[in-house]
Amino acid sequence: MLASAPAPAPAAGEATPVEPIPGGSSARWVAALREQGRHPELAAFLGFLVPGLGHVYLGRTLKGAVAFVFLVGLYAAGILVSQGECVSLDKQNGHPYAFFAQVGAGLPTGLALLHSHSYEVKRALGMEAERPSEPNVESPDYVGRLPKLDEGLLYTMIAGLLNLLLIHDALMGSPGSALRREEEKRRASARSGTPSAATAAAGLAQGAA
Amino acid sequence: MIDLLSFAAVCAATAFVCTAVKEDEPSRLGGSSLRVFGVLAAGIGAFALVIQVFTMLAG
Repeated sequence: MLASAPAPAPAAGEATPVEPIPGGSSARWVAALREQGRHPELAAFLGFLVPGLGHVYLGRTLKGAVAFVFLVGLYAAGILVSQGECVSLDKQNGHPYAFFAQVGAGLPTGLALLHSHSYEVKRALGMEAERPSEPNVESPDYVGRLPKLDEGLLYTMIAGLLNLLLIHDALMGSPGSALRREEEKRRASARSGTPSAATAAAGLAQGAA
Repeated sequence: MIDLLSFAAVCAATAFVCTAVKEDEPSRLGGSSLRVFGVLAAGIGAFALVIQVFTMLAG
């Protein structure tokens, strides 16, 4: 599926033709992963749940581990500085629009949401729960906490949005690396005079591994 | 100090992720991330400095 039919060898003194590689680099990246029994869709889902987990599943452990440290660290810092108040769907006191950015980090956002809506969750489960008191928005304590709340919102939103990029990377691969590998293989095969598409695809598969 | 650290952390996370979607090889990923981090931090820092200077002059 990855390789095309070999081209005829060039005549003496003729420049070696370089075959166009069929399909985009991402399509071949996905095909190479599937041949190894790995599913980019599952990687994307795992990456959505826990930042970096999708890359670990794909065998790119270092990238996944660094992503986990950066994004989960950033998210946790946001939760800590805002005392868990920055993730909330409450229309009066919450930030429902920020949630659309935060939701990029699935499991951390889910846990923070459970924390901030613990009253509603307990009620839904039929458990006894004490209704939280409405915050006094004019009190100096509340006003003093607002900058930290903004900081927490910023960190969690950035972590969620950056994780969307990582999910895309787990799903489609890194075009820069794939294209560079292909180019190197094509140049090498052009120098040696062998067909390039198969070797380029092999290089892509090697990168996926 | 905390503000500077948080600024550096956000820049580092952004630089790493923006590089990670382009690069796969660990050897290139580290160096490229550092370069993007430098550009990001220096660019934002320079912009903040210009704003500060203008604010001081206006004041």
